[in-house]
Amino acid sequence: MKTRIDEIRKDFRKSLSDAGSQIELDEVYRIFLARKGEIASLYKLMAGLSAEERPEAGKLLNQLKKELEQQFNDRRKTARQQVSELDTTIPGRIPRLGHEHPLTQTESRVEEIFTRMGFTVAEGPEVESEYYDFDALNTPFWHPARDKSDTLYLDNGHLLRTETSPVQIHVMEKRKPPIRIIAPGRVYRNDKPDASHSPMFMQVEGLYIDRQVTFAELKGTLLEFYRQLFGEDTSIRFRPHYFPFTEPSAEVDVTCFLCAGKGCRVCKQTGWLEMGGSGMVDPVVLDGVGLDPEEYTGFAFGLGLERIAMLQYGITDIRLLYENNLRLLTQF
Amino acid sequence: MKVSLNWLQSLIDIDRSVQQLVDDLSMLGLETEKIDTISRSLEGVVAGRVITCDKVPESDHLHLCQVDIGDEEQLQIVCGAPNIKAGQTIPLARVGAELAGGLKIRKARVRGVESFGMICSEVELGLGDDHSGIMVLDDEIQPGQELGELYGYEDTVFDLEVTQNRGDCLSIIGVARELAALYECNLSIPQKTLPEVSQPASEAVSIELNKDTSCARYAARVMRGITIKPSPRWMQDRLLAVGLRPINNVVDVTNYVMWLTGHPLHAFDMRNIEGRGIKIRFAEKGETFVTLDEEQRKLDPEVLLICDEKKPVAIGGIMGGLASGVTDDTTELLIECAWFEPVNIRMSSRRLGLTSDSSKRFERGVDPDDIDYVLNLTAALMLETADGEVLNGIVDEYPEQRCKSVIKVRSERVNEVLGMEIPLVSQISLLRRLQFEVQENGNEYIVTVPTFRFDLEREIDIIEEIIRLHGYENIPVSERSLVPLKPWIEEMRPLRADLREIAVRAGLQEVSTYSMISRRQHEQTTSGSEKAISVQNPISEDLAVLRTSMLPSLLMTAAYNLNRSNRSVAIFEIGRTYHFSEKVYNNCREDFILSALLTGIRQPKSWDSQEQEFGFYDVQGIASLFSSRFDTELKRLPEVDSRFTSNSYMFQLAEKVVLAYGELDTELVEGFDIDQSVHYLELNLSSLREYYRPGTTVREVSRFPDNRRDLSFQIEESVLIGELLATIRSHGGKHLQSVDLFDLYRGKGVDQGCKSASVSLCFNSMKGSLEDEQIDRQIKKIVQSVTKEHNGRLR
Repeated sequence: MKTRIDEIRKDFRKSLSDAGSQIELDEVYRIFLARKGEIASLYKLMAGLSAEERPEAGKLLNQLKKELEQQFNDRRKTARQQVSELDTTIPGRIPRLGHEHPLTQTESRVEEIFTRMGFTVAEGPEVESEYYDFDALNTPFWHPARDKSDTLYLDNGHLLRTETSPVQIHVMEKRKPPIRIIAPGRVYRNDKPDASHSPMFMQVEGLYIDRQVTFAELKGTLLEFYRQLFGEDTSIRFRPHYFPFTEPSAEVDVTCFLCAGKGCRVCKQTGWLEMGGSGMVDPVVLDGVGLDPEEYTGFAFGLGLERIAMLQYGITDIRLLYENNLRLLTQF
Repeated sequence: MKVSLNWLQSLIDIDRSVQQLVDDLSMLGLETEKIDTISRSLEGVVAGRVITCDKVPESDHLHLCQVDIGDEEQLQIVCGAPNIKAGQTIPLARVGAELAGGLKIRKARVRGVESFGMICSEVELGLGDDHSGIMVLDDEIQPGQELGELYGYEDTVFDLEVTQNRGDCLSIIGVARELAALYECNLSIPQKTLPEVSQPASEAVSIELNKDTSCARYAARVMRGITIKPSPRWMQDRLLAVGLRPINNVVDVTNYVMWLTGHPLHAFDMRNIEGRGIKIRFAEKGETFVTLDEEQRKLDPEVLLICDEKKPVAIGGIMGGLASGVTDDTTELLIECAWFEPVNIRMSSRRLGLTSDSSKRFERGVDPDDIDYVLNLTAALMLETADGEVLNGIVDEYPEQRCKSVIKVRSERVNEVLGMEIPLVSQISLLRRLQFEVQENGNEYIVTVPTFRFDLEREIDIIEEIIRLHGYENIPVSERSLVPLKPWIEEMRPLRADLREIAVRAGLQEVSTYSMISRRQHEQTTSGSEKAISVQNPISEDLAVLRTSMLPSLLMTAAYNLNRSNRSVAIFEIGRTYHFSEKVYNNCREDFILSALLTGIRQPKSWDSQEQEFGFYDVQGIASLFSSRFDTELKRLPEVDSRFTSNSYMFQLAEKVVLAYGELDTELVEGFDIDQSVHYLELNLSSLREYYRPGTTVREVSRFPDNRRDLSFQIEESVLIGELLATIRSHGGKHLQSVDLFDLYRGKGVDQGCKSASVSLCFNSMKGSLEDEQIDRQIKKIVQSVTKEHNGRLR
C-alpha cells in the first residue's frame, strides 16, 4: 500500500506540473481526486487489508488525499492568476451583430405607442384598385393625384397604392365600429428619387370611428402620440388644409425637437416640423362603406416614417434609407 | 399664389408684423411657402440731361458725355450704350450708389478718360428687363431729381400655397377677404366710374352660346381708339412684385385685374375678329390651333374654342390664339370675361399639356356673378392707361343663372363634430364675418353661400368654415378616445416580427429594397418562368416591373456593397413579392418572403484566427433555425432550379416550393457583376403561415449530469454524414439527447476511399444518473447498426 501511495504521489506531481490548461487540470482531477479516481480506488483496497495494517494505511491515505488536494488547489490558484499576464490592450473579439433596418425600428416605435393607446395594427395589399385608392376616399375623378405623373399604374388593371388609407376602407367594410386602427406600410408615387423624394416610402395611417368621436379627440390622440415619440415638452399645431377624404382637414405640425421651437436649419427657422395630414372622416367616405354619418363620426391621420427616422437619426437624404449601404445600416 | 403686401394694404388696413401675418394666414389655411422682400431705393440715382456726347478716341462704341445733374453741376461720364444721345434725360447713378444686382458705382478710368458715375439701363435699376441700352426718361423730369422719389419701390411678397378647394384665394381680393374676416376690419374693393359712349357694344359684337358647351356665361366689352404703350409704373411694380412680366398697357390691365379679382380676362384685337358673331363650340376631331406661345396644338373634341364667324380665336379659358392677340398698333379691343366649367378646363389643360394663370383659376372655379364688376373695372383701367372710349353696355350671354348654395346647419352638430361648445350666436357671427348670409331658425340656421365660394355644399363644409375662422387652436384636447378596445391581430405580423428577430440575432443585417426592379433583373432571376406585373408609367427602366422574387433585390444590394468594399455581406429582408392572380379583386397575390443572402467574409482575419468565408453550411444552419419555427414536414425535391448550383436544396409544401437555399449559380451572380460565391435562402412565410408554431412548449431540462461519449467511425466516402447521423440517432435509445459531428478526417490511418467521422454523443435521463453499463450497451447497439447499415468500422 505504501509503495502504491508513493507511486500515486509521484504520478500526481508529474501530471500536475505538466498540465498547462484548465482542461488538462480538470483531467488531473478526474484521474486522481474524482469519485472514481485513483485515491478513491485506494480507499476501496483498504477493505482487503488486515486489521493491524488498516490504521496505518488509513492515516497515510488520508494524508495523501489532503496533500494532493492542497497541491491541486494551489496549482489551480496559480493557474488562474496567470490570466493577469495577458496583453489586455489587444482589442476584444466582437461578435457579429445583426441590426434591424432604421425604418423597421421607427415603425416599431410608432406602432408600440399607438398599440399602448389602444390602436390595432391593420394591413392591406400594396397593389390596389382605383376604387380603394381613390373612389372610396372621395377623390374626384379629375383630381391630379390620379394623374400618371403622380400614380404608378400597373398592367393588371390596378395601381400601386399611393397611401395606406385604402386599409381604412377594407377595415370599415369588414368590421363594425368602434374601429381604431393604424395601418403602416409601403406606398408608391411617381417621383424621381432625390434627397427628399422616393418612389417608395412608408406611411402610417390612423383611423378611429365610433359614436361621438370629435376633433378634440383627434387633437388629444396626436398630441399624446407625438409627446411619447418626441418628448413631453412637444407641442402640436393644427393648420386648416384640404384633403378629399376628411373635413374639417388639418396639417399637423409639432414643435421642432432639435431647437425646442426656437428655430433652426431643420425646421427652416419656423420652430415647427410638418408631420402629416389629418381630419374628421368625410361623411361621403362613411356613407360609401355603409356607415351612417349621422350615427358615426371619426378621425383619420397620416404620417411618414422616413420623415420621423430622418429627423431622429439626423439623416438628410431619404435615398440613404433605401441604398442599403451596410456601413450605414450597421450603425443602428 | 404670390401676394404683395402693398397690394393687400390697398384693400385692408393691416397693422401686423410680417411674421404675425404669416402665422395668421397659416391658421386660415393659406400656408406661406416663401417670403420675398423687394427693396428698390435707387439711392444716389438722379435724373441727368446729356449736354454733350462725343466719341471716345480709339473706341468703336464708347461715348464721353457731359451730364447736367442740376444746380449747375455737371459730371463727366463714359457710356457704352448704343442709344445714348445728346439732349436725352437719363438716370445717372452717382459714385457711391448701389444698384439692383449689388453693383457699387465707383470713380473709374476708361481708356484714359475719367468717369464719375454710370448711366443706367432698366435692368441695372431693377425697373424692367430691357437691357438693350440705357433707359431714357421723360424730358419733363428735371435734372437733379432723385429717381427714388419717382421709381422707388418697397414691398413684401408672400408666396402662398392655395389648396385645391380654394380657387377664390387665387386673388388679392380673396386673400384680403380672409384677413378682413379674421381681423374683423373693412375690406375696400376698388370701385371706378366708367364713362361710356352712346354706341352700344351689341352693335359691334354678338355672342352665341350653346347650352351644352361647358361655358355657362360669356360676356364682353368693346373699346375703340386705344393706344398701346407701357402701363404706368405703379401697375408694373405690382405686376413685377407678384412675378408677372409687364408687356403693354392692355395686357397688363387684364393681368392686373385677374390677379386682383381672380377672374381671368382676355383681350382680342377687333381687327382680327371676322364678322361680329362670337361663338363658343367644342373642337372638332383632329382640329389644330396655334396658341399665343406659337405652338401648333392638336385639339381633342372636349376642348372649348372661342370662334369668330370664320375661325377659332382662342382656346376657352386656357390661352388665346397667336393670330388674334394685341399688337403695338391695336386700336380696337374686345375684352372677354367668361365662366367655364372647371372640370372641362382641368381635363383640357391636362390633355393639351398646357397650363396658364387663366387655366389655373378656371379649373378651380371662379365667381360667375362678378363678371359685371370685373369687366367694368377692366374697362375703366384701360381708359386710364390706354385712352380711347368704351362702347355702351356689356354684351352678356348667361342663359341660366347659377343657384347659390343654401345649406341647413344644426348648431348642435357643429359642436358634436368639433368636440367643443361654440354658442349658436357665435357660429352665426363667424359665418357673417365670412360674408355668408345666415337666417336663424331655432337651433338651426340656413346659410346662403356667396357666389365666390363655390366649394361649399354641405353642412360639414360650413362646420369647417366655422372652426377655420374660430381657430383650430381653440379646439380643446380630449383624451376620451384613449380607452382600450378589443384588438385583433393581423396574422402575418407576429410571424414576421419573430423571424426578423431570429435573423437579427443570427447576425444578419436587415435591408429594405424597392419592390420594383428592372425587366432585365426579373428575367435574369426567374428564367422567364413567371410574367411579372409591369408598371405602365415606370419612373425608370430600373423600376419597371414588380418583383416576383426577392432574389434580384438582395443580389443588387450585395453587388452595391461589394462594389463599396463592404466585403462581408450577410443580409436579409422580409418583403413582398407580387404575382398575377385572377382570384382576388386586385388581380395580385402578395406573398411575404423571408430572404437572406451571405457572401464574402464570415470572419475577418485576426491576430488569433484565420479569415473565413461564408459557405453552404452557414446558409444551411440559418435555414434550420428558421424552419424550426414551423411544425410541418416539407417534401425535399430531387432537383433544384437553375438559379442554384447542385449544393442546394428545395422543399415543397402542397406542390409549392416554400423553402430553397444553397449556393447560387455562377452565371446568375455574374449577371449582377459579382464574381464570388453567393449563398441565398428564401422561405415563403405566406404559404407556411398556418404551420407557424413559436417555441411555446418547453422541453424539460434534466437535473442529472450529462454523460458524454465520443466515437470515431471509418465509413466509405459514398456514405453521407446525414445518413450516418440519422442511424446513430435512431439507435441511440431514449436517453440520447444530441449527436454532434466534431471531426471529419481523411488521410493517414484511414483507408483509401474512406473517411473518418467523429461524433460526440450526449446521454441524459430525467429520472437519475445513468450507469456506465447502460450507456455501454447503447453504444454497442449504435456501433452494430453503423457497421451493418453503412459498412462502418469503429476506430
